[in-house]
Amino acid sequence: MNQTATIAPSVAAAGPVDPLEDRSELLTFRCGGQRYAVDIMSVREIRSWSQPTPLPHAPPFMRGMVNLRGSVLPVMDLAHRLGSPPTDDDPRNVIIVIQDRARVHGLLVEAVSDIVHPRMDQLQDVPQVGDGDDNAMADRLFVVDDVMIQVLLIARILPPIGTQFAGTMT
Amino acid sequence: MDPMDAIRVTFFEECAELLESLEAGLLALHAGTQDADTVDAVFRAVHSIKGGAGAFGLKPLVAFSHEFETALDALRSGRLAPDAAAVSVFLRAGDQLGDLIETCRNGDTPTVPDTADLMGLLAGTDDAAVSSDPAVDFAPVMLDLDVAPLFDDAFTDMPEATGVPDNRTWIVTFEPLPDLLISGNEPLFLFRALEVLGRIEVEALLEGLPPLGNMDPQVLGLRWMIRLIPSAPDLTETEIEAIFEFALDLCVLDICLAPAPTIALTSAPVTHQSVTPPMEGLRQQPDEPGLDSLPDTEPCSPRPPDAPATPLPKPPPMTTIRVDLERVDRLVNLVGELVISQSMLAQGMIRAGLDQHSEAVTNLDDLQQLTRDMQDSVMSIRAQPVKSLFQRMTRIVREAAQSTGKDVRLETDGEGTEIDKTVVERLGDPLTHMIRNAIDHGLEDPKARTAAGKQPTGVVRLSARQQSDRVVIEVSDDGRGVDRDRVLERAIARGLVPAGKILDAGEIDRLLFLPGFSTSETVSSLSGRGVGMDVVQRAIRDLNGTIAITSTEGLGCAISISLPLTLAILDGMIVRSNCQRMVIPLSAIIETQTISAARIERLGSRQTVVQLHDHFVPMVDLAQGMGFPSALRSRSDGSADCDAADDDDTALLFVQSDDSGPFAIRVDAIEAQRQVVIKGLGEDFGHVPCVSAATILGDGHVALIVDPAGIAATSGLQTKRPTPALFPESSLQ
Repeated sequence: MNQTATIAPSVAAAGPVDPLEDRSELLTFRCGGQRYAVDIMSVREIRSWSQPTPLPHAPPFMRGMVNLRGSVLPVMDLAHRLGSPPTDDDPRNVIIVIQDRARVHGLLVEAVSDIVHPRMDQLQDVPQVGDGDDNAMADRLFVVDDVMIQVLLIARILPPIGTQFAGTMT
Repeated sequence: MDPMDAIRVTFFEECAELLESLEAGLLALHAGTQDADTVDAVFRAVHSIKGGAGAFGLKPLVAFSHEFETALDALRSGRLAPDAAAVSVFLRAGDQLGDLIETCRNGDTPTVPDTADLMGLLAGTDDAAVSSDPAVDFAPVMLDLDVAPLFDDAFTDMPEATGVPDNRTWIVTFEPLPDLLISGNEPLFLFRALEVLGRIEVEALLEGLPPLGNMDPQVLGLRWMIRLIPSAPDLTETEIEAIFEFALDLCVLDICLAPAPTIALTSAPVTHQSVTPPMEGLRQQPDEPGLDSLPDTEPCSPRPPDAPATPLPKPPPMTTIRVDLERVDRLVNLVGELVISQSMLAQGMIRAGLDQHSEAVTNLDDLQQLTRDMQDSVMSIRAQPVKSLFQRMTRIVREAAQSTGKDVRLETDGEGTEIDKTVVERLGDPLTHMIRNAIDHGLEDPKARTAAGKQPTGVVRLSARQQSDRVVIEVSDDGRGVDRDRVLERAIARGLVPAGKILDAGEIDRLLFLPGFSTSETVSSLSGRGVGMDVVQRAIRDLNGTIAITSTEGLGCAISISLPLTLAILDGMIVRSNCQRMVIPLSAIIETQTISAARIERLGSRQTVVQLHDHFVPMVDLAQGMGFPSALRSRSDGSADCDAADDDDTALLFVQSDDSGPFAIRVDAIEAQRQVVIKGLGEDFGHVPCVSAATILGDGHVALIVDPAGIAATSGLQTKRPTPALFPESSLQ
């Protein structure tokens, strides 16, 4: 986790600056009892649930992989990644297929809620709490209908390339 | 990517192709095919490389290819006989050219190889003195705007202008069509390229230039007449034309030889004669709008009336397109998916209770046939003939023969056999190694051969053939064969085989593939570098291939490699372990046993061993080895086929991995043996242990393709020496 925290700033700096500056069209969804949002430009498609094939010696939040029209898509349990208990297998779950530059990843979430267009002044920076490891995955937050929605930065959610499984090998 | 870099990449790709045709041509010369076409092809290859190199400012490459070209030109003009000595100099020069290109491609600064041999060839001919330095100083372009261009003037001017009255002057009339500039051509560069061939005098022809007000800035209104005084006396029209190669469709080009100044006006027939031969290759514009405005071109008319009488029928060129490999792979993926969708549809229709003879089911059968055909054709796009690979081996043979002082002839067969491009690329190293081995260890020196009653020249044969869905490549030699006594002795000395063990001939031959085995007593520069045939075997196994050796004492040795036609498909055993279906590559499996027939013993509290022939080998449960929690058994709701408790189906697969000895993998059931389409795990997955790739099964589910070596490593299996009796190719050919 520490590694993620140290790598994330450079990833963010190298990436397409801040998607929220130009466009604040966000896809909101439910996951681990909380509400989150991602920039809609990073969403490639939303797929219904299919049982992922587990990967050997993978970190617990990696649920495995599913067939995405003939190629193999890694699927991550987002709730578990963000520190909540693992999501149960449920046919009503959905997989959000996101793309961060060349990387395509599936995020297993409970349900997709809405597409929202918050104004810039509605978006609030994430306050620093403690050492802020988990918070580092969220970039901003905003409130809709009295519910707080965290805006996730894709680059921070995805495990850094190459270091993903190396540490879990025995 | 910088557009220039992209062009550079293309240039080097082309170079590779040109080198191939160069090598093919030289080999044909070597074999005795010495017609003009072959020589021309060789010359053109070198010339094109030179041209491209010039465009990228690769001076050493230009310099060397120029010398090469000069020597080849002597061959082409018949001043040099294509005897064995000359051809071998050319072959060596071809190798050097390849090295030079490789250095340039890597961005290193190359040194121009020694061209003494090439020069030596020329020394016997009359143009030794003329072999010129390509770095001709840039002479200012003469733009004589005042004087109306008249050929007569040109002719009479010439003696003073050239100072080299021996060289015939060429007159090139160049009239750009309107699209020339738009397509990125620039006359100045063309003229500079011409300058490499000799001294040029350029004259712009201004008539026909529209008034300033009507001028289109994107269209060249000018025409040019260039007088070229070649630095080599035997310059041909084709060479000049080659300069304009990329602009040929965009201009009206007229190349003709000016009559020699002294005899020009009196001996027109001579001119005709010397112009006619190269004409066949010239692409003439069907319509020549510019020509009628030119001064009388009769003395050097490019089309003498008798030209059609010398037809040279050429086969229509094979049309090819360059396609990014990624696009092909995408197509392969999509078709693979189509096949899966189709079979899912078929299963769905059966489940829906449709009649087997209903129209829908019949149509579905047609669809299945079509998708299979389509899959085959798409796969064949990736297939490449092994010819290029075999050609590269000729060089290896030459070098190995030279450094061992043996006389070697390489015979190739089945060059047209096609195999996946990646396989072709990755076969280079193993084949090189095998051929070097054959020459270094297999073949005797000429004296020993003569003593044994053989021809002094040893033969290495390289053959390829397709056998159902595999390609078999064989390297054989007619040398002394495997010295079994020595092999066995060495294997015992290295502790690979217990002393006193009796092995049959085949088992002894297979000892050569053991890691750390090297038969050569002295480390030679060629093959004894501490890596042996085990490296070859590993490379072949990485390609899902198998390797086998047969040897006859005194008559030679043959090593054959059997490879899948494509890397996209794998022969695998679909197994189930802990409710997960996985695929184990068939090439890794030595043997299977049912659990009831197997003799399993416990070692200590955790380890289990199982008997395989007269040995006990470790046993690993597949799901445990893959690190799947046993909780998985209870978790899944979607897998109705999960009846893991039933011990009757439990089976053991004995697999061989490179780093450890054979071991057994316990699976809950063996479901099927099938070909599966390999889906690589991209970078998104990072490094996944125990898995080489994934595949998508007929029901659309993803299944992992197991890497037995990874399982052995993660399960902490001790590295053990495989016993020769357990070598996989013995049971799986």
